[in-house]
Amino acid sequence: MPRLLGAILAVMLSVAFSRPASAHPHVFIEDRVVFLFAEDKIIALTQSWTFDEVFSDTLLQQFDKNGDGAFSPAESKDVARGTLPNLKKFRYFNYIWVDGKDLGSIDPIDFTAAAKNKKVTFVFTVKLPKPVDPRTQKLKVEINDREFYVEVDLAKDQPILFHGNEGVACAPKIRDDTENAYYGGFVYPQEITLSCH
Amino acid sequence: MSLTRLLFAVLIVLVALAPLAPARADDAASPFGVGGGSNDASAAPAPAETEAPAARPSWFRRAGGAVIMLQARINRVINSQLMEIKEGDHPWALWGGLLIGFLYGVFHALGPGHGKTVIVGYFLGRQAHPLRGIAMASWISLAHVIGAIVIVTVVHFILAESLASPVDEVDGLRVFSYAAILLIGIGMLVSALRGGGHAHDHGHDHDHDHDLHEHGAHCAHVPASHKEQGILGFAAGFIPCSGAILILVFALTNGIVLSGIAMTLAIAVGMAITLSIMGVTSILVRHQIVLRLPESTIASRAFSLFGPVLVTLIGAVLLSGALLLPTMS
Repeated sequence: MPRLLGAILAVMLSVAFSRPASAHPHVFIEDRVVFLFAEDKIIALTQSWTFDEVFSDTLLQQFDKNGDGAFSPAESKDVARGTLPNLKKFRYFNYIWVDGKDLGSIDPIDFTAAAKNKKVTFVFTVKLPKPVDPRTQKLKVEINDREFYVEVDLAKDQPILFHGNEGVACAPKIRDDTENAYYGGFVYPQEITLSCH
Repeated sequence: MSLTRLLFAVLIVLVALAPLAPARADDAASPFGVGGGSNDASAAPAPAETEAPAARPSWFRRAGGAVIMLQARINRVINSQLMEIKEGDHPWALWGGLLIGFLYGVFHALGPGHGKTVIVGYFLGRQAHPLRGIAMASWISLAHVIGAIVIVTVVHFILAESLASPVDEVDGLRVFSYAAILLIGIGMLVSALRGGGHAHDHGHDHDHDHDLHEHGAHCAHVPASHKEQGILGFAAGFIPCSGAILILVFALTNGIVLSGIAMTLAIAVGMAITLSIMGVTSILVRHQIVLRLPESTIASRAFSLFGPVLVTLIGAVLLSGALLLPTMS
């Protein structure tokens, strides 16, 4: 009996004490990644992030000044100005490794925000500092908010696409990256790797 | 219950406390700087290397991960439901909102925070009738909703700030909440030490717990006072979760205030159920342990300090975390 009590106590205490405690996430992103090729090498990643209804609504209320349910080019610029500086502190949720080396934070280019059916989508491109040959180099991409305020999930249909890869055939592989577990080690990021030939 | 076993339990507490220390204080700062978050979330994300994954057994990770994923799915449905209520096309949307709010409460209370820690620690250290566990659980849950309503209202109407900021105001309040927990822990500790294992302080217990009376022979017996429970419960519950705040902020900006309040009340009902189970379990576990403790032993003395030490530690860790973090502007 004392043994049982000890066990109950242990379970209760570890449950009671473990963090994270908070009620995250509150924003949800469905993301897609397009690998852009030039001369058989990957030069950039174009990402599209589609937000859930509530955060889309928040963005529309704040930035859709004329209330037409869409973002004009000027409004899209406002979205960029209003959100990117903060996202920079979170590396734009981008974690990219080449041959195991973390590329660090890369400022996105060609940012646009669009709204359709009350859902907002960000589209932007992350340019790799040097072109990567996916046949000889190992490229690993993870897109997630390590604070887990935002849940980023790859889209169910066609999450990974390739563009301009005439001489290279690639197949994406998505798996849970147990080594980079975050949020107290409870959440595994989705790891994208490519096998190309 | 040998001394070894008690030491083992204390060890578990210390090990379990470790991940608590670096926890971020601002629960609800949006990384976009839009919608619920501050416009200068100065907190950079922790690099992956500083996280400590996989130190726990895998069943623990799986269980914790499952709760977190469930929470994520529930939060996702809350967002859809809020939108349906706002659009008003479906008259039953509010009922769906109440149901999902209730579920959120049940599982939010499972995903651990200081409310649960305090109720478990407190009732492991204090003799009480099981009904007191339910009462304190309900009080913590109600305080949670009151806290959310007060904070959102004060920030929105009185401070007249933009709606991006109520979650930041929470940070300042945290310090008071944690300080109150720490003080009550110290108070419990002092009274336990003064009792020295001999005093049977029946005077403060107006519950007349006849069915659970510990026969006077057992020394790890410090009865609970209602006032203490009230203050502790309020301190533990008053800091609302980011979920409740965000629901109310959305409700306020979209003119569905009553629905928002109803949903946060549904959250409180769900939380109260989970917290009640935890509180009553702690009370019963404590009762069983005290019954089995030999009289006037070190183990018995040590156990009488266990709950007070636990509550004090929780308060100390939370307070120091809140004070040391640079995000606490």
